[in-house]
Amino acid sequence: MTGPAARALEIEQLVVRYYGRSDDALHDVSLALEPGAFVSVAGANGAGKSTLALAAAGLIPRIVRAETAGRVVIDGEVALDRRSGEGVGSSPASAGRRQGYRAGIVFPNPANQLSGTKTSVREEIAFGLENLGVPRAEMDARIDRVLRDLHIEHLADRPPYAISGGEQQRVAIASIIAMDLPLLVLDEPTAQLDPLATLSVADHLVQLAGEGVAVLAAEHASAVLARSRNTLVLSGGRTVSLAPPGTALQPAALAGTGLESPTLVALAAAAGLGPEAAFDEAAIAAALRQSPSANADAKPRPVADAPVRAWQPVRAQPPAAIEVRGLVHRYPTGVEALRGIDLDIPPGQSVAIVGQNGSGKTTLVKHLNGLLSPTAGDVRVGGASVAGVPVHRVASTVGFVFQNPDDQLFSRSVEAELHFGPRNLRLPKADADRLVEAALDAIGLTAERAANPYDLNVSARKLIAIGSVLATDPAVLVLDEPTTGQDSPGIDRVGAIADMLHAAGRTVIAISHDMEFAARHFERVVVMRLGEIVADGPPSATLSGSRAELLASTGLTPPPAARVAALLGLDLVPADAAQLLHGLGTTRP
Amino acid sequence: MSEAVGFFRPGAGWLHRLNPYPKLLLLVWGVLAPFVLPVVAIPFLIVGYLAAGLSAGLGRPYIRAALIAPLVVVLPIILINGFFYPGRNEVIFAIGPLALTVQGLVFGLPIAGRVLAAFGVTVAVVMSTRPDDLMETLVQRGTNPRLAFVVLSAIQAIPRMLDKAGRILEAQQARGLPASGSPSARVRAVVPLLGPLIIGSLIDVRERSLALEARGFSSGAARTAYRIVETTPRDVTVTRLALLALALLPIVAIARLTGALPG
Amino acid sequence: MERRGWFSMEQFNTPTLVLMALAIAINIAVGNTVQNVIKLPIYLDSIGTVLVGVLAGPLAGALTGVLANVIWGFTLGPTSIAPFAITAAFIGFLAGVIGNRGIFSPKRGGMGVVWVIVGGFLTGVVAAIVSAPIAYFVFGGTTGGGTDVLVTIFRGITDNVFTATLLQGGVSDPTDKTITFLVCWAILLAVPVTVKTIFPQGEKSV
Repeated sequence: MTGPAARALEIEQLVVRYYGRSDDALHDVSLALEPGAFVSVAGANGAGKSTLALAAAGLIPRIVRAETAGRVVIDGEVALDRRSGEGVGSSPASAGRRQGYRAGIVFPNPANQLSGTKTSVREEIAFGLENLGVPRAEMDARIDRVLRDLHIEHLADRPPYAISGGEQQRVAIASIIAMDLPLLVLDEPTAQLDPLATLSVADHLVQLAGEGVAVLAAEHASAVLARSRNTLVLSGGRTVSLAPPGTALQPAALAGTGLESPTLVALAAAAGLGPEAAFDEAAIAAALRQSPSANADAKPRPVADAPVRAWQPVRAQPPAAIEVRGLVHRYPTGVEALRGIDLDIPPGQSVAIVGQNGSGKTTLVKHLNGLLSPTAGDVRVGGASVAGVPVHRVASTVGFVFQNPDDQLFSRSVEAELHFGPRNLRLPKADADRLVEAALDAIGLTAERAANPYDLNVSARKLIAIGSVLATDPAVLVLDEPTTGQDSPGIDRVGAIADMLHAAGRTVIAISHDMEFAARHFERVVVMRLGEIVADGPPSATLSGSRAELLASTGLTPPPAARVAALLGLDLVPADAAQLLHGLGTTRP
Repeated sequence: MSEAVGFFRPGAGWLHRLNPYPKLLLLVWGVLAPFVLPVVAIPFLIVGYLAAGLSAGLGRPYIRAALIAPLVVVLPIILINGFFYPGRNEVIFAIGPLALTVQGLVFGLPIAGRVLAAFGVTVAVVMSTRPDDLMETLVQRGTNPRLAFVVLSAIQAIPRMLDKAGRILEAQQARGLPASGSPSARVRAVVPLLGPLIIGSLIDVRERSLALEARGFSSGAARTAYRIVETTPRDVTVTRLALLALALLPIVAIARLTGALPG
Repeated sequence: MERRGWFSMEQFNTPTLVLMALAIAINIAVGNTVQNVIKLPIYLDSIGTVLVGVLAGPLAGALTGVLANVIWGFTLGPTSIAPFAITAAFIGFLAGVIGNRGIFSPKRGGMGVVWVIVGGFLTGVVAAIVSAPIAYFVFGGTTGGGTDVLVTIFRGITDNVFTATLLQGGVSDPTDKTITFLVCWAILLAVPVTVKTIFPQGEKSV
């Protein structure tokens, strides 16, 4: 079974330019996928991953209008054929109305994949089959098969919106597989998912590829990239390389793309290993143990575009200690989300709160600004109880940034949005202006101050939400999942903001899934499981390899570099490759 | 997190087992009849509808929704018309400056009765019919599936939009927005609370449309249905009776207008 | 660019259908927020309908209005709002016609706001005129809402139930619809161009 007709996807010299833009979203990109191939696409935000995903699924130019050139063939059906030589031109959006159902696509936001019209997962999967006119007699067999293959049989009768994000993504994938489509395209499917759900999706993609489906996944998550056969690296719409992930994602190969090399790949490169072992922790540890040429000169990785200025407090904020005693919270549904929490956070400490979904992290921090009141127990900020105080009043001390920026932003410009917080708190104009300037600088969007927040990507929007709270100069900054859905420059910038405020003596509390982020920027890590604190201490004590079992019980793993350190018998918790190598260099005789 | 709105409750009574199409016809007749039939018929209709609902096993929730909830609409009709009917009227009794008049009651009571009757029949039908089944039946009878799509996804979107509004309120309060207090504070809360709700929804439209397209939404192929809604012989009989009853309504209406029928 | 008539079926592309469903839910969530959370004496519960009219066209707006009232009445209730689907149809249709003139575009600047106010006011007046006979014939001039206080007052002033009903609508509807149009305009300012243009009439508001 060889030859072009058997290919699941063929892209030849694809060029895509959206209307009104002055540069190409994709330029001269070529790619071919056989059935059963699993290829990932990596690149910084704006590199063209989403555009490639849309084109591979046949949605450009059929539904999404753009100027195109090149050729895209999906399972033998031509979705686009405009070889250069005919010139770049626009194609009518209605062409090929009845074709184009050879590829499915999954997007980052799980809830957006659902039809919104079905009351059970089983019927949701049937939606695509109904639209394609599949005979009713065949539907049950297909649905049962994909329920089994994706391990979601237990969800068959659940309402689609009542399941978790990770489960919704599996349902989305199942719906497409049920349509017997030979090509599955995914655009950052794990962006909104926690590490456990990410791993589950990654494993399923491997399984699907094993069954003959061609899988193309644009992703940041190294769990997915590691499992792909080949990785296409994009930068500025152009192909940088197409090679196995261990090769394509090496630090040297990624120079100039704006992408970070995954920690394990960087370690493997430093240890001199070949690309096959790039994600193999045991092999890396063995190589580092033996190799005398470990890079002792490795400096800790400089944080990209770190804010230069220190945070100049404008408002006089007395030190606000946080004291939580015996905190119990029971939701009206009867669920006991917190089972007795005792926590003391002295002023100026930086704390990361980690634990799987449902462990009570968000419930806990929502007590700090009065959004939730204790069912039992006491919560004090700066010596005064916050229960019963209106939330907007506590906001002048405790700045709380929610996870979803699209639940917060509404202004016409970034600058106007940053003024929202200070305006609510009635800060004097001079103070407000100074704080907004400082916040713009801290989030790195001074040049985009007049831009519409919704014209910027979601990473920037998350930073804008943080900026609007920064501009209130809070005594305590609480960040709920600031790293979920962020690209790595964005994560670095959030980390730099945490460092900056910490250096200025303010308290910083962050909830995160990202263990490297927690290890790098926080002096204390609180680990939660099922409404209780199960570990509390510096990263070296809570996130080390020796704690792996405890962390696993709440859906977490130590950062990759720490796992390698544990295999080497070291009790370090390095946040990344450079820190580990540096640590090795200094501990070697 | 709420999952569904609407009055529908699963059950096994005769109304539940009836096909949605005859139920829809009965609903239309049930709402129009109090307007078309003579006024004296209204109390009988009300009692009839309530009896039907109860006999179908709809129970206490039905009484609550069909009798108690409408009071907030029905009582003002009786009271405001009873006490505030313009013109010189016969007084039945007076409480200080307020006088209950015959003309007011003659005007208001039939209207109140019609509203109550309408509630009685619509709640009974809505409580015993799944929206999906109703839409599937209508699509099989020729309704545009895209219209059915809008109705069903709107119904599911309601609780999620309410949840989203709640999250936005929390997030904006956490950024210092007082959503209560002085009138000017409340006016200034409008855009920060409604903006993200609407903008966020608009942003989602693109991704949701693309996901739908990828699942064949505009494929143009003849659509098949997963959900099977049965039509029994009893459904066919009821449908015929309902159509006949509906056909009789215009006749009665004309008879009343031309004076052939009193009331 | 083809001229799209007010009644063209091109208004109903997939994004429009998705938006219609969301708009119906938005009506309810906004109505709830404004009445129960912020507690202002306005409704704003046709803002979703207006949004669809402006972005997708008059027919789409009208259909959204009808479905919104019917669905709201038959799910959350009370069912008594369902007859006012006719009013909602007019509101959606007018919003579409007015939106087609490009009034919601930021490019219109200050004059744009004036036209938005005028458009909202006119729509409110039409809504009042259309609602009056419905309220009169179906409900005897009352609706069980807070505006029944107005009804009582107007009954005292005029000698005619119908006129009183019309006056009651004439006070609350134009105010409410003007504010609805204004809020819609303010929010559309922050919506990116790429989002507006996926809707059939979206380019008019860019």
